[in-house]
Amino acid sequence: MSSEHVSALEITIGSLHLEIHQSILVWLCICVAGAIFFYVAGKYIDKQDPEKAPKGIVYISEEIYNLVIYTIGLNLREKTMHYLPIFGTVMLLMCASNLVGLLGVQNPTSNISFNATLAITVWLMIQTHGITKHGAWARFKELCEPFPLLLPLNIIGEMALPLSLTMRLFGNILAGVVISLLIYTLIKMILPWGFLMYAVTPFLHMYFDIFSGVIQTYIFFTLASFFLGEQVAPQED
Amino acid sequence: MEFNEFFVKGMACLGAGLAMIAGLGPGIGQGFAAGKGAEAVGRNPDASTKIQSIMVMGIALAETTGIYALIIAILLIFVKG
Repeated sequence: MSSEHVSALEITIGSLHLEIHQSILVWLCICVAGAIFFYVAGKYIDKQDPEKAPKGIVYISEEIYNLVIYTIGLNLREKTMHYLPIFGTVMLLMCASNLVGLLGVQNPTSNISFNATLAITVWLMIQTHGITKHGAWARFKELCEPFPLLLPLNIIGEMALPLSLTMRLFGNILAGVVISLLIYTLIKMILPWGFLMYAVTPFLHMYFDIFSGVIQTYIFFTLASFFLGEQVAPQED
Repeated sequence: MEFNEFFVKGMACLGAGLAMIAGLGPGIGQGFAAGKGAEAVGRNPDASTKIQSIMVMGIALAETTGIYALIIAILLIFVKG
C-alpha cells in the first residue's frame, strides 16, 4: 500500500525483539485520556446538586449514559444495570478510536488483531455467562434444538459470530482508508493545484470516518447485547 | 507457458476482479430495504424517526457480505502481487 514508514515502538531485550505498531500506541493514549475523563467527570458528578439542571461535563456524561442505555436496554431486559459498565466503557472508547483517524494517525480499529480481540472477548463472555447461568448440559441441548442431526450446523453458526463481528468492523474502516488513499493519489496526479482537493475531501471524511465509524460502533454493540440477552435474560413466552 | 511470479500476479488480479462480483448483492438488498422504508414512512409519517433508525441498522447489517468480498479482493491485490 503506502511505502512510507509508519512509526512504531521497538523494544529489544537481549534476543527478544518486540515491535509495537502505531495503532496500539494510539489505543493506549485513548485509554489514558478516557481514564482521565471518567475520573474528572466523577468528581464533578459528586458535587452536582440533583435539583438543578446539569451543564458542562455532567451534561455530557448524562447524554453518554442515555445513549448507552438506548443501545443495550431493549436487548438485555432486566440485567441492563449489571452489564452497563463494560458495554458503556468499551462503546465510548471504540467510538473515540473510530473517530481518531480524523487527526491523521492510524486508528486502532484498522488493525485486524485489535478487532479480533474485541470480538473474541465478547464471544467468550457470551458463552461463559450462558454456561454459568443455565449449566453446560442445557447449553448443549440448546445447540441440538430442532433435530440432533443439526448439531454441526449450529456449532458453525456459533463460530460465525466473532468472525462476522471482526470482519464487519475491520472491513468498513479499511474501505475508508483505502478509498481515501486512492483519491488523494488521484488528485495529486491529475489536478495542477493541490489545494483544489480541499473541496472534495471533507465529504469523504464525513462519510467514511464520522458516519461509518459511529454506525459500526452502534451495530457492534447492538449485536453483542442481543446475543448476550438471549443467553442471560431470555424472553419467556 | 511458465508459472513464475508474473503469472501469480496476473491471476491474483483476475481473482480480485471476480471476487467483486459479490458487490451485486448488497446493492439489490439495500435498495429493497430503502424502498420498504420509504413505503412505511408514507403509510405512517408520525413514526418517521423510528422507521429511519431501524432502516439504517438493517442496511448496515446487509452490507456485511459485500465487505467480506472487498476484504478478499484487497488481500489478493496487495499481498499476492
